[in-house]
Amino acid sequence: MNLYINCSPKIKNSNSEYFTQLIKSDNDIINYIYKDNFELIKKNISIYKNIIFVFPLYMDTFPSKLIEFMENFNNKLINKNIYIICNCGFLEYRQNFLAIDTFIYWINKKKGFFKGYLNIGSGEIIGITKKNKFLSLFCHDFFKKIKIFKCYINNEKSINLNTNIKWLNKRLFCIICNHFWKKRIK
Amino acid sequence: MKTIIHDLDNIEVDNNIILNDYNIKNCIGCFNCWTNTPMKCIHKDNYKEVCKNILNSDTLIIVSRNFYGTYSSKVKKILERNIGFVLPYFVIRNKEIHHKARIKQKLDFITIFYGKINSKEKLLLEKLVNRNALNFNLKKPTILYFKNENDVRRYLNESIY
Repeated sequence: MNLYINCSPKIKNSNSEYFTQLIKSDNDIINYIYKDNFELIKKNISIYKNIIFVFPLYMDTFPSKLIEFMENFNNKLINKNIYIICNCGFLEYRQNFLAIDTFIYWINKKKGFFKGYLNIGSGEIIGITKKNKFLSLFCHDFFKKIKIFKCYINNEKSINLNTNIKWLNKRLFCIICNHFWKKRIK
Repeated sequence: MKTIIHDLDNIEVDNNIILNDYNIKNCIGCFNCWTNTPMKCIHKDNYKEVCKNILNSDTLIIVSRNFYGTYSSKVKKILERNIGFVLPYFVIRNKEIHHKARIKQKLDFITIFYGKINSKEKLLLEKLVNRNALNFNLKKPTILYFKNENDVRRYLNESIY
């Protein structure tokens, strides 16, 4: 059994939730940093062995409430397997590397076992595949990697994976996203 | 004008300084500050129009306690409430995708970190601040480190106010 910790401010409407639902098994549980009591999350961390933090990139690092939780987390993560799923809206997943590195540094300081990450670029567009099946064609790499990541978590093995939407160059990606934003802006 | 975002207690307040308020609400990721009410946050508190202050400044100063190589949660909360400082649209800058700047002029950017900071944390903080400058189209940052809050206050009094 695994504990997923959704660290997105959008809680259940987030892409983090979408990714978690794709990967979690029936027996796994989800806690929400922006909704659940910190004490409850801390208690669950002490119970579960595999803990997966799922967070979006916010201003080049992780969301503020996750930092607040970390500031309040005085325990150690001894014998805990920690995985990370990090996503950003930019096409380049490498923009997540700093947030992942910083989080790994914290895990090491807390004596946890860092077991791996799934690093997702173009997360906003991948999130739209919930409703738009045509877009799923461009996200085949993501769906393949998330399945692999799930297997590695369940077998408590180490793995680092990077993924994003395929067949789009940066210029085309910007055009599509800007079109999306123009429609949203009043 | 300078805008200072900080997490210090008992600091002298003036028009340019954004208060450190323990009751600041979290960004909820609604993007209203990008879509429905540009540059205005949906939360009705002291921070709802902070990004307008930043846009009217020539210098942005961030003062934060070091927390494992990132900002303290208090400072990060304020920063997240200010994403309206840039536009939601994407542009390619330095061969990477970033948000489009709302203004052409680049602000001066000073960051001050205090507390116990080791060499690994300094490296993470420098990377973070440089990435913030790139994403928010700010000038190359000046990064300063101080041992404690009192040293920061002394520096602000002597060099910034």
